[in-house]
Amino acid sequence: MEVRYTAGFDRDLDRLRDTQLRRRVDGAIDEIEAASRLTEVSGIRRLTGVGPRYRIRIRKYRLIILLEENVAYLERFIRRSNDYRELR
Amino acid sequence: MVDSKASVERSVIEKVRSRVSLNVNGGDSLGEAGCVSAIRSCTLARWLASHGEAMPMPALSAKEARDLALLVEEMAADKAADPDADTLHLEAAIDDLMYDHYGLTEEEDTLIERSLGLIFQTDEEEDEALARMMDGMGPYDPEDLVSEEIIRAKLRAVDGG
Repeated sequence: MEVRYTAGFDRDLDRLRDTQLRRRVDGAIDEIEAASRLTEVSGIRRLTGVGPRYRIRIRKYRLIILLEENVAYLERFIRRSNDYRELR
Repeated sequence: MVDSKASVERSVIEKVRSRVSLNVNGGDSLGEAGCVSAIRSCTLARWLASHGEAMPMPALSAKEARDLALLVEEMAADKAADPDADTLHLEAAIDDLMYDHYGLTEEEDTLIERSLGLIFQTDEEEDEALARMMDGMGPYDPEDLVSEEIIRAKLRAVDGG
């Protein structure tokens, strides 16, 4: 499926120092691109709430994806926290 | 459940105790005074203190020491430029470096951060918070997007560039 990248996701990558983690994200994108449906991607889970939004856990980080017309928008890649409001 | 938690806690403490540590003045070999301070104030150190254990001064590999020094330098530069600068991502990277040095599993570092209240207590709570955070975001216009070429270059950069 097609993958697109938001400016928020791009900014999150700028703050990522761990090279191995970058490789893991790279691999996750490969997997999403190769999938015909997002639900085929390993470790993915749909978030409750408004809109078809999903998350993939990659170690201590969360890859947030919005699905629209079979396009996966990678929105954020953020470290787990107890207060996500501060990350907006 | 309690037994399981206690077992994970014991495992963390055992891993920290079993790794080679530097002597009391050994922090000097880390080169940068800020590195010693960063180690003493990392999340693992705070968790150990809450369990009556002192954070040892770890005998880092050359790469770990170099990575730590870079993070400490970047944090100092950010704070010098703006005392209110957000350096949470750098502090998190130092935490991860310490977890990795001691070979902690995801279950172990999750327990540490949950017990200090740094992350949600359950996956469900976390997912609900993520959904709330993202509510209202999107759809995205073309000008909100970044090319795959730029993203892949960042992900495949050799040294985090």
